[in-house]
Amino acid sequence: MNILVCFKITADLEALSQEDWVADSDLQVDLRFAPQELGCFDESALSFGLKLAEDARAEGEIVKLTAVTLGRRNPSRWMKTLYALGYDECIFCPVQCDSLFSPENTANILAGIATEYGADIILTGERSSPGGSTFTAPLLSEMLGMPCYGGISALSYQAGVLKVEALSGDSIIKRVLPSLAVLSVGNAPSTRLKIPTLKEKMAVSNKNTTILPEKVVPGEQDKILLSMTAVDRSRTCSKIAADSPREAAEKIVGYMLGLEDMP
Amino acid sequence: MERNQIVESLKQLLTPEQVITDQHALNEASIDRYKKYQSIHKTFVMPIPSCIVKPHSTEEVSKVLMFLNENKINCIPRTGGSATEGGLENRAENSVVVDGSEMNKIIKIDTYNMQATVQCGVPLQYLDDLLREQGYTTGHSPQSKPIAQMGGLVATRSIGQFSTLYGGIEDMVVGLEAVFPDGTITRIKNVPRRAAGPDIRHVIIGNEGALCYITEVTVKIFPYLPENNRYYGYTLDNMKTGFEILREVMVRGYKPSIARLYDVEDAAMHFSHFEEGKCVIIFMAEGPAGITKATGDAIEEIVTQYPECEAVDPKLIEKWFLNLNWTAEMLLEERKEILETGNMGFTTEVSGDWSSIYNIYKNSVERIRKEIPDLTMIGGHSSHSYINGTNMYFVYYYNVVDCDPVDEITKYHEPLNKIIIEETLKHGGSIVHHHGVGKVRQPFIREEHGSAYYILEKLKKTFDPNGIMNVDTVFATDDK
Repeated sequence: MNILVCFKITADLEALSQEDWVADSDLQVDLRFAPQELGCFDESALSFGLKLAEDARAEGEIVKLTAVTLGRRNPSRWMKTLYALGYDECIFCPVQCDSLFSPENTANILAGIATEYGADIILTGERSSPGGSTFTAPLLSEMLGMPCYGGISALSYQAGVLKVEALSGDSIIKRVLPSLAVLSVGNAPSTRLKIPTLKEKMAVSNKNTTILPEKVVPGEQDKILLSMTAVDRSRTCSKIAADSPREAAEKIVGYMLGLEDMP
Repeated sequence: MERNQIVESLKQLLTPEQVITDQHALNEASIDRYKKYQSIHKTFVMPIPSCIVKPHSTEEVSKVLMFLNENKINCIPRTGGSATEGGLENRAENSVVVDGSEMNKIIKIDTYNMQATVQCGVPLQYLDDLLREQGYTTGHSPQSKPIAQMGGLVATRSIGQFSTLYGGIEDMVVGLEAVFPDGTITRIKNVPRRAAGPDIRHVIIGNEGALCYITEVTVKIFPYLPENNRYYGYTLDNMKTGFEILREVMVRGYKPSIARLYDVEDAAMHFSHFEEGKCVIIFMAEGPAGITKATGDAIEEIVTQYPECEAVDPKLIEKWFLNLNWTAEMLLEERKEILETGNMGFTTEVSGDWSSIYNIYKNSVERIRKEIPDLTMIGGHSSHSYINGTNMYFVYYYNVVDCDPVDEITKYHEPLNKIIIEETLKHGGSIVHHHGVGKVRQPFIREEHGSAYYILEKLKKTFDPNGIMNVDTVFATDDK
């Protein structure tokens, strides 16, 4: 079984202040000053990759577990962590153009890598801001001719059968999947990556990231960013004067029903 | 005295609303952040306090302490509750936590004499935000700033990130009010300086609630001139060079508000957006424009002498710094992460002179790597420098493996801490730079002070003869 997990290191947008949300002359937000992080959905995908490999190996299958990322800079620290946790190969594909708002380009490059590596199961995080990564998995599926399943929240492999769970509204859908699939991982609780020990990292210190030739991605000429505004997170605060909890509750309910104005 | 008698007596002494007996609150009050792993796993094995009382005035603190003293009941003073070294951990049956967080009035902001007087429960963040709106600052900015309150900060000899310019809290406090176990209320008046005998502020600053209860503090304030701030950042190959640079800046007499040196491992955690397996040294110059320019120019001149240093965009440092402090959300997120990954992170801070600090750092890190199991990270930084030396703030993480939550401290943290303490004492440094002694480092207090421990011993016996103030904290156990 060839498992390919696609992940992205992104800027921690929480670390940006209101004034940072300004488009520069290229109509991009300057994210160089924000710390880098692995998005929680991609982290879950990487975690599921490890679980799937472990389950399949327990079934006696030969497994190759590969992680791949695209970007301007090789995230070598994360790659070392992934090797220490059990990934067989970590691939970095440098791209010249920022693929921030270009899931088509991202999917196109990933489809090429998946084909080259003969991936059977492809895992991605469902979304990762910034950029429309929500579309990467379905586009990848279309390009590769493999079925795509979204919102994956749990996964197991037993007796040669891949089973997944996906959240859909208030219900959980359980499926048995074919052997070739693109899985888009959604909100999957308790799927943080384990932290490798220094000894585990030392044991893989001779493993280097596979660096692919740089891809030059054309900018998307048909899309122009016209404006950008930060989400308004301001709050207002009102003090409710009441002689009893009941009176206070009535005032709040009145306000919520639009019958009463807040002071 | 029985537990319920203590509670009822305190309800009569204060009001029933001021005496908290909620089980969850009491469980959490039995430990502090030192045993956060046990808290996360809801495993509370320390004695549970009988109640938490919330006095509203100095007179109420006095009444409560007199009652506890007369009945020989252990008192744990606290305000913001951000302690990390077991200072708020309970070690006695039926203890009473005296929580000053509702004594939160700002008494006076005196911009002519440049001082602010506040009650012990005023959050530092609130005070500093208020001052900044008026063009002033306390100059105090520990990582716990959003949570910590003024009484606790003074009680633990806190230090902030701008200490190289403004000093530690001991340099900021001009006067105090405190209550001793027998109920005596003392006020140390606010004067610029005096030579009227020993500086008695220092009996109180750093007592960690083991001698008295701080009810009010007056601190210096400073002009706030953020428009003049200058940031500097460099990557470099090794810590030894970094310590040399820090030393040179300090010895030449410059006072950047921030002077921090990160080793490779710690830099990787903080500067993921630009570090490339290197150490990082950063500075911030703050104050009047002429001074910040002179300080900044000197830093650049000094660093230029070290070819291994490469400058980074100052905006990287400025942006990083704005997100450094703890927030309540970060602390909640940390708990979730620990629960899911079993990966625990802690810090230990020590100090040493320029001749010894590198060896303290190197020896400790080497021994920890060899001796401590399941380690996932060991590194650190220097964050507070002086003309004669600096501190070292060790940062370490480990996976808790095959271990009951109760045993995590003894399996990992204590042996690790002991290595740092041993190496620091061996090289003549101090085992406590700014987190306080608490209960964690109290067993080493005699070795820390040597013959000077005589003075501390006498203080405890004089001011707390019944040993009711925060038992096992700071002072050696046999002095109870």
